[in-house]
Amino acid sequence: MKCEIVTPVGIKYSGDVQGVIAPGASGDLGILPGHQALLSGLRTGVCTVQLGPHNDLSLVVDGGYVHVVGGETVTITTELCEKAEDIVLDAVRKDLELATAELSSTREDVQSELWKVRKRAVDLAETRARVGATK
Amino acid sequence: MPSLKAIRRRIVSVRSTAKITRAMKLVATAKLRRAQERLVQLRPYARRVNDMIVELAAGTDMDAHALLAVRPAKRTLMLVLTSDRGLAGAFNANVNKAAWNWVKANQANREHIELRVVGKKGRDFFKARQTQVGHVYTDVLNNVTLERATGIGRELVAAYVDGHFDEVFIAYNQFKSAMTQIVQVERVLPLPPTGLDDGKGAPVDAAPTTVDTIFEPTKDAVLDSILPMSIDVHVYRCLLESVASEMGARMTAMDAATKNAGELLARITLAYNRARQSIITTELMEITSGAEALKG
Repeated sequence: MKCEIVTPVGIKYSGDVQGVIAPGASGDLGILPGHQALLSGLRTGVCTVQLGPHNDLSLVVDGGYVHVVGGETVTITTELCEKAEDIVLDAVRKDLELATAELSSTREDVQSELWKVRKRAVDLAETRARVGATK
Repeated sequence: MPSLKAIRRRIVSVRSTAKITRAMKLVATAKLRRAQERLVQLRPYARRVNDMIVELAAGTDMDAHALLAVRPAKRTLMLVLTSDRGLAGAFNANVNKAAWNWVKANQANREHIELRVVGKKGRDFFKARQTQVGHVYTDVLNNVTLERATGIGRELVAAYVDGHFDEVFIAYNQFKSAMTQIVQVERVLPLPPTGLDDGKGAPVDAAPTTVDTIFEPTKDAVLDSILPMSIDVHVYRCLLESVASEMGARMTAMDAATKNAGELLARITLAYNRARQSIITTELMEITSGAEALKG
């Protein structure tokens, strides 16, 4: 099946794949050829593109959507998509510390916008650190 | 005939103007290339977002979502995208005039039209016409980011959703080439069911999905997040189009200015040489006639 990952700064991945595991808004989504038409939101997390047996490409995605058409094309539109080799680990670890400190100092409710924004920053930094460590 | 000194001063001034316009042209060219690149990179993204909207809208009752439902147009919001700096040919004048004409033409059948302006040039234009402007965003075009576009987009959506306005328009320069920019006045809210223009002609109608499409978490949740997001992307694209247009217009204008300065320089240099020549001739005549007189 065909997979395309599109961001505002260009197409990050495009090619034939065996399957895609996308971080869906309500749980990870495994998408294999012949999947039913689907349109789902994504959360911040790792998107795994299965290029072949034992050959996965892990990418950080920050929100966005996954769109399956005709069981043969998967399109992921996201504002941010990063490959492991593009991640500078030291910088990310610092980000993570900062984001975690900010989140723990947030006195507001867990439902508040501010808390959600900061939580998302922590999630993003965590995911980047995780993917960055695999290179 | 002006004195030699005056002409010489003129030559120096024209020469330095030409230097400035040439430098401005070079800067605009470099910035244009960057802006064009970003525009090209954004296009596939804008198209995919549009595809999803078209697909969603095809299977949805248009009145079901606030951003899709068409209400009688009484109160209108118009966002005009201009630049902070001038010397860009007709870039600002065109978009301002188009917005102004639109307002004049549609004022009669609406209760209220509010203008919001990006850029100091738009602000000054409407100030000169004693027209009130709801909000001015400055320092946008010199550094367009998705965050900034999202901020503006969110404000448009919020003003629309809470019922302050029944429709939202954007007036901007669409980039065709460095020579041509086309002013567009487009409705962005309520969202047209064909999606928003992605700058590459009208979107082809994506095959409307069958009822079987799964939406996660729910169709409404997807609509709620994707519709405002498409506005942000559209605002972002319009801003990038404006930057590219501004730089293209400035490049063309500065190129023409440099050429004109060159022509002017040739003309005054000729005048300068003529004046110099005639002074020399007069001097020579004086000397020879003086010498003749002494002989006599």
